[in-house]
Amino acid sequence: MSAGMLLVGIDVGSTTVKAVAVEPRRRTIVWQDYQRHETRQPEKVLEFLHRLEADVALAAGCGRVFVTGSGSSGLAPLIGAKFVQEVTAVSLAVEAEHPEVNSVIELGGQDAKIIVFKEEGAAGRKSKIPSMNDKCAGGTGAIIDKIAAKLGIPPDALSEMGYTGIARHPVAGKCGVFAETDINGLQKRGVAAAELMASLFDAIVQQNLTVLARGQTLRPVVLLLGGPNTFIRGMREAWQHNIPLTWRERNVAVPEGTPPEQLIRVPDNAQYFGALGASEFGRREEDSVGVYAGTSELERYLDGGRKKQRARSSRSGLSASEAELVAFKQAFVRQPFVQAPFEPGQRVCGFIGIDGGSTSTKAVLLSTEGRVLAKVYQLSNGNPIQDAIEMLCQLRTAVQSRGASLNVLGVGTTGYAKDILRDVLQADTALVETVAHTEAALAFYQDPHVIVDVGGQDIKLIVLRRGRVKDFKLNTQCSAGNGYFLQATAEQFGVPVERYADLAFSADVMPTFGYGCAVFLQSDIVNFQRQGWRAEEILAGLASVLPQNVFLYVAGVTNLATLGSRFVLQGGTQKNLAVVKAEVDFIRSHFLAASDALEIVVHEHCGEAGAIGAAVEAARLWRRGRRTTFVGLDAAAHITYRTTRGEETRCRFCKNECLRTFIDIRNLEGDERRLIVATCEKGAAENLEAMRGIKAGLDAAKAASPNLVEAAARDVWKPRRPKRIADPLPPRGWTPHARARRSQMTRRGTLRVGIPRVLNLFAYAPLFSAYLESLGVAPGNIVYSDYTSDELYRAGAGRGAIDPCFPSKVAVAHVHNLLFVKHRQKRLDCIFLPMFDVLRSPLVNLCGVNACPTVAATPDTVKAAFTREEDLFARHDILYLSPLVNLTDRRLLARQMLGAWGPVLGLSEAENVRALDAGFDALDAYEQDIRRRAREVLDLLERERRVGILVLARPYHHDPGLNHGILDELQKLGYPILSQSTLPLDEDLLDRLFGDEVRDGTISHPLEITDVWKNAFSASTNHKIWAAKFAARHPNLVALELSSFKCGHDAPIYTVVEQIVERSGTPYFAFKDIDENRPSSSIKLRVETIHYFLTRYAEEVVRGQDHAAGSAAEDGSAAEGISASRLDMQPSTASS
Amino acid sequence: MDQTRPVVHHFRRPPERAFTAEERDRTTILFGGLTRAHDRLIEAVFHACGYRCRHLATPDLAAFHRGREYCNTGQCNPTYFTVGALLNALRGLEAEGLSREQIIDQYVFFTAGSCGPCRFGMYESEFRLALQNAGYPGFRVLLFQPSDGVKAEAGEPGLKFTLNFGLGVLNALNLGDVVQDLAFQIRPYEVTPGETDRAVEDCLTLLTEGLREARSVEPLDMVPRWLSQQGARRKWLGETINVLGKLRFHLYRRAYLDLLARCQERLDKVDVDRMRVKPIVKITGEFWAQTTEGDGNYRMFSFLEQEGAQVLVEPVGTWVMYLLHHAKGQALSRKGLEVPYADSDWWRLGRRAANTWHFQKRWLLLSVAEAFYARQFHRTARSLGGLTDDLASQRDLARLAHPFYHSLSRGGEGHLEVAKNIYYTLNKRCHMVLSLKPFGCMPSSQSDGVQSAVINRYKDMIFLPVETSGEGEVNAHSRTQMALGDAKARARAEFEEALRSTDRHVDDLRRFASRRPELRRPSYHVPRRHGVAGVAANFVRHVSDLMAGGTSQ
Repeated sequence: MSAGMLLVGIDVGSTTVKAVAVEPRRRTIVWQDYQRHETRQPEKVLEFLHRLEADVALAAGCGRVFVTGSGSSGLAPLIGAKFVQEVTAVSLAVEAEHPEVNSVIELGGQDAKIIVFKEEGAAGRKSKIPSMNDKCAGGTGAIIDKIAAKLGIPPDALSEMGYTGIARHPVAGKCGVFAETDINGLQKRGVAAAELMASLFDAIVQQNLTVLARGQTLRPVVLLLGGPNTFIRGMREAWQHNIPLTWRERNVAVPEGTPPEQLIRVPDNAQYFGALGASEFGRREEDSVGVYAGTSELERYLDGGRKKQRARSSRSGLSASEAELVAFKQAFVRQPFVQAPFEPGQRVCGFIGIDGGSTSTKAVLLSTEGRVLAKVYQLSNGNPIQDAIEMLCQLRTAVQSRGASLNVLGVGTTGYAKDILRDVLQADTALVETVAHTEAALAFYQDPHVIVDVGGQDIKLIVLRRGRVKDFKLNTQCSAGNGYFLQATAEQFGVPVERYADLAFSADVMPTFGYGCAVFLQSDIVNFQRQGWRAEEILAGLASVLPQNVFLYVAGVTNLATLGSRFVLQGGTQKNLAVVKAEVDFIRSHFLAASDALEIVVHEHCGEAGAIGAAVEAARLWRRGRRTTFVGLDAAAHITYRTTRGEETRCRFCKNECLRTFIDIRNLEGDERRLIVATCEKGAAENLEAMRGIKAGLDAAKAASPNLVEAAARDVWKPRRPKRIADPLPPRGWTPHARARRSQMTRRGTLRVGIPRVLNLFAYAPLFSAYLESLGVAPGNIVYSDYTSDELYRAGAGRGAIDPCFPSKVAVAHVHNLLFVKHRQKRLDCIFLPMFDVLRSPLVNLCGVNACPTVAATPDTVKAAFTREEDLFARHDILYLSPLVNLTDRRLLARQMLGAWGPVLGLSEAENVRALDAGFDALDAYEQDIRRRAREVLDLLERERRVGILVLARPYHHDPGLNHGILDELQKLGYPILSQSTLPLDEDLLDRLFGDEVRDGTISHPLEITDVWKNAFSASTNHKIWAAKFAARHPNLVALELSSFKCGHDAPIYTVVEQIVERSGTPYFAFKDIDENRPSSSIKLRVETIHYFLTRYAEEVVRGQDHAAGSAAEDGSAAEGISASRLDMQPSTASS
Repeated sequence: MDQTRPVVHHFRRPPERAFTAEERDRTTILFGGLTRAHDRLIEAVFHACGYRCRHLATPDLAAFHRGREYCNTGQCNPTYFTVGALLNALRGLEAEGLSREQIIDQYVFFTAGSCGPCRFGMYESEFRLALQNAGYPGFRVLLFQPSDGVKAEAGEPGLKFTLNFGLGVLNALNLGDVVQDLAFQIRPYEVTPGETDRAVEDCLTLLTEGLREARSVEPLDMVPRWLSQQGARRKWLGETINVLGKLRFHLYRRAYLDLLARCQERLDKVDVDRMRVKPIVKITGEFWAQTTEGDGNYRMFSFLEQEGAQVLVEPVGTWVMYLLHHAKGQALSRKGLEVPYADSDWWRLGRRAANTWHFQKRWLLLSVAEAFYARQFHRTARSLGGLTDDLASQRDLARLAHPFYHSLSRGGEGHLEVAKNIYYTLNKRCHMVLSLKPFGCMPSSQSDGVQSAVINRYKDMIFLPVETSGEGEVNAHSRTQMALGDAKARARAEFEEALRSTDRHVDDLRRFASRRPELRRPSYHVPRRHGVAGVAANFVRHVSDLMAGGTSQ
């Protein structure tokens, strides 16, 4: 073989194939091409090889081929090629072509890679620290493609979308699904596509800098590679803007006067670096390696080998037989809708419902008898106002085109855009989606038990009993496997959504997807495509995974008979018969009941059910005598509006300074009014006076409904001012040790200690602050980091190297805040972040009182983050103290604290013990105070017969930045808030709640959980379970569980907590998977639904207590402190 | 919502049914979770002790999906895989014709427990929940905890933690560890593909038969009658005879030692070629993910071998030693805190001695346990050819890790992931460290955060953490290949350096080696040079020495 054989490098990526042919001696590129493979990787490679054979005389035995990329390893043996790992390939190309480079960022379709080159040793050889995304495609080009498609941006325009100088909005880059949710919300607020894309670019850059870089500094020169970096201007600008910020913060030397564009740049042939590197690898290998074997094996593989391969891992299609499919269709194919036969001259009276959904807008015209007269549907063009105006026109046309006229008696709105549409159209009601769907089901079907609504973005499961909502489950942040995902996948395959079902039914076999995260599903799709699965098979597999997402992922129910026996399937996604078939099969196979006959029905107007519900509510109001406030069809048609969102709309009423959207509406008469879409109530004010009015109202509402979580989060950091217990300062020291001690003691008064406001310090800060204060540290010198906020997190999170739960990873940002904000303001001497090993608990008969390992080890990961490249603590002359602490064993704790603080404060053993005593006294006093206030709230609830919310959550969920303000929102709606950490432990109360069980021997003590939970090792988990028992037994409390994403101590008790609460008939709500992303739309939907639900529940409580009071009075034992007055609850948000 | 609130029947956890001695003969114990070799050997021990027993298949992706269906959401992968494997096994029994009632009545599941703090301590509840959800309410889950063994709610437990059982399991664990290690050491260099697997299979057959034959012994029945009578009269003497007799029987009897020798002979029949340049990849990570051999870690071991690496697996013994060492660390941290005479004056020497003894007693006990376990491991390793390294010193591991990760921090592998990364790199025992961590593992994620500082400190380190989410195998393999590329280059460079330093041509070395059959035996001991990790590089230097007149083993 000749040493001069042609070298071919092929890079088979997730979306494209790139190839180069290189003349080996002079290393010149003689052939190159780059094409999208449209998921047909082997076919595209074959095509390239044929062209290479024709163009540059590549032939079997004559030429060497080296392949790289995620789709290449399986193809390599078929063509005699040698596989080269992508990072190896890219590194070789970079080292060969750009030795000056220190960092590489490559963004691909599904992959993201960062390679940091580091000088090593005297020889100056560079070592590399590569990092590559795991399964999750968050922060890769896939998100850009998806969002661009959603916004209707063609590829040419996308490449010209910018970043610099364009307003940006908060978008989650961590996850494609979250990003999409945020973009949806912003789009509905009228944010322009250019700003949305700039925000997305920013989010992707932030995600990669904070997570993928694993805390490494990307030193100049930085090379940008991969499709998105190469072709999209905004991506490049985003890197060029953000990376220099980290250089400045981390004191990275930058060549003076060199602009960022030269230090962070896209090289020539950027898209070919993988292929070039593969060929470079080949150049260094022996001539016998990678000798091209021709295309015959590859062709054989395409002809049949691939099919055999995937047959090994398949399962049968959506339908076992043709007969089964026919039977299914007979039962479930909906009759086409026939519009009402409007007669010329007829005056049609009816109600209009508009559903401004996430991906589409729907409107219906409902007769006074509740019949659907006309309905219209359109994919959202991004502006809900325009959509609604157009749809009203369409409805009017539908009537008027037959010579009839339309008299609108009422209008209701629902969906993501319900409030804005209500305000613009002056509709009669804005109904939360869950309620709208319930109304729609009840209006058409007799006594449904379970409503399964699968929309574009949301999954809702509503459980009813005798026509009243009993329970509901909504997807939290993640809209896994939703309708839009199916639609987008179909479109990705070039299949119109209307053909989805037919195509999916044609598949005899289908791959098995893991249910859950949509981003993981997306990765699976790519994997399956690589394995040769066909589009119809993948679509069938996706349809079959949807019910698992609904019932297992969102609802967490395996035996569906526990929900009921009459299921109504609603939402636009149910138009897809493949999905319906999968759902029906799933429900049948998971309905484990001996007697109840199962009924499943698809709502005959499934796509418009939300709109129908809104119209039903408008009709109800009309029947109650409400006259419509609707502006009228003429006026609606002539509404013009202008949307403004920018610096001029920024709210200045608080330090958050959020961007608002102003919608200036002009009507037919030319009158103008302004709607303000803001993130909080105060932002809705146009001027200071109006804001003051709003604030006064809010303050009054808050005063009427105390929020103990907020109070605890505030009070826990207050100075404790304990008695000074320090040893007297010795007049002089006779030994070096004594002199050192004396010096350390003298320093106590000026010593400044930084403490991050994180984790279990939200419960135990008084212990440590009193400990320090009692020893002479001035209260003002105990400096806490700021409360968690987006800004604080973004500023410091880039130092972190891992992605654990939010409460843990935010600790890095808090220590960053202490180092770079507080320390700069006034010098700190040390930072104290204890490693909580064992906590303390008031509960009894436990197996353990452990902190979770994530919490315990966080101080070590924080230390790693700030000592990784350079010891920043040392640079700032700050001592980092992170002793392991056991709060249950006071003698051990004394030893641990002495070990940490002794050398700093010059402690004697005795004063250390006294200081700890002072600390525990302060902690006890703090806990007693907060519990006393909680008792007052409970008494208030009982006295006024109101409903309060008991938050089942760990102490750090008190942090308003961690609980996303959910509790504030509920407080504003009139619900006092308590948490598990603040619950009173008064004997009389415990006896009232648990006394019977103690007396009958079920438990030995009110503070015991052995009756419900065996493996009681984790302190906060145990406490959560006990609090769930408390909520289940207290008639005025409902339970709201908060849990962070990846919480390993919460996950095992999800079911038991729910069972404890719900078995008693007490409502239970949950916000799980809380992360740094704040899904405001989803939170709003859930909060409104909870409020709707609780309004009705409160009526039950009153009735129940009236009943109990009546019975008690009859028994001559009237319940103490319960008045006869009606419950003073706000009206439901269901009505405007 | 009902109109009036009915009488509330609060939630109670379902009652647990005990596994009693009377049920032993008609009840099959299911268990699993270690490697296939370990599981087979442990199964043999169960049989030897008179139990009906069956080990579960290695959890696969189907098990993962099954587990996800019936467990709480948000669990870590080992939960889903192991729970799913049990459920699939029960479904298999149904398919064989058993009714659910029969399964619930005739089978129990045996698993290890923990006192936290990671969620492993709560696995038991997850098994019970999933069994309930999947239609096996009341299926018994037996928990073994090192502290108090297997409990029965009432009466004599069906499964007793006896000395015979304990020593049998000790043997099974050590044998499993060593056989696994040998398989991974030999296979990459075997001349005839598949020969190692056949040899290992033969060994396991021999060993399981040997363990199964080690029926429970009662030493008091085997000693002279006078001694037996004395033992019956004096409790301490009886117990001493009992313990020593059983130790001798399980660990030192002739038949057992012969068995090991036969295994070594069988393994030595595999022909190996040590001139193959292969990077050595040390596996660390979360206990289950680094142990399982199936989809739970993307079949990473076979993938690595297929990619041309030699895998250095982690023995279960390291974990046992870690637990003992950790207990010692905890004891040391509390030294002097729990004493009978807390405020004893300095001159009251008796009281001070009693205080000291309080700590020393526990310390001594743990030290003896450590020494005993380590000795048995090393003895087993030597008996099977001496290729397996001694268990790493836990003191060294803790010392290396402590500046980065507190060595008393609990949960999962604790500081071990960090420690092993440093230990194996510093001691040039591998070219790359691959940490396998399941999605959602809390301590393992935190270790990873600390590793970022470790790799900056030790620039030479090739370290790759792979989070196994149960899916996404292509990506995980790709990332592994990425790091393996560097490891291969390092192994190659080491080999080239060996050739250069010996100034010999590879063909000459090969020719010489081919004339010395002993060099092709797996048990041939090639001295390891300081700072040289690779088998081929060490072999080159050794053969070169032999060519220069040195003596072979």
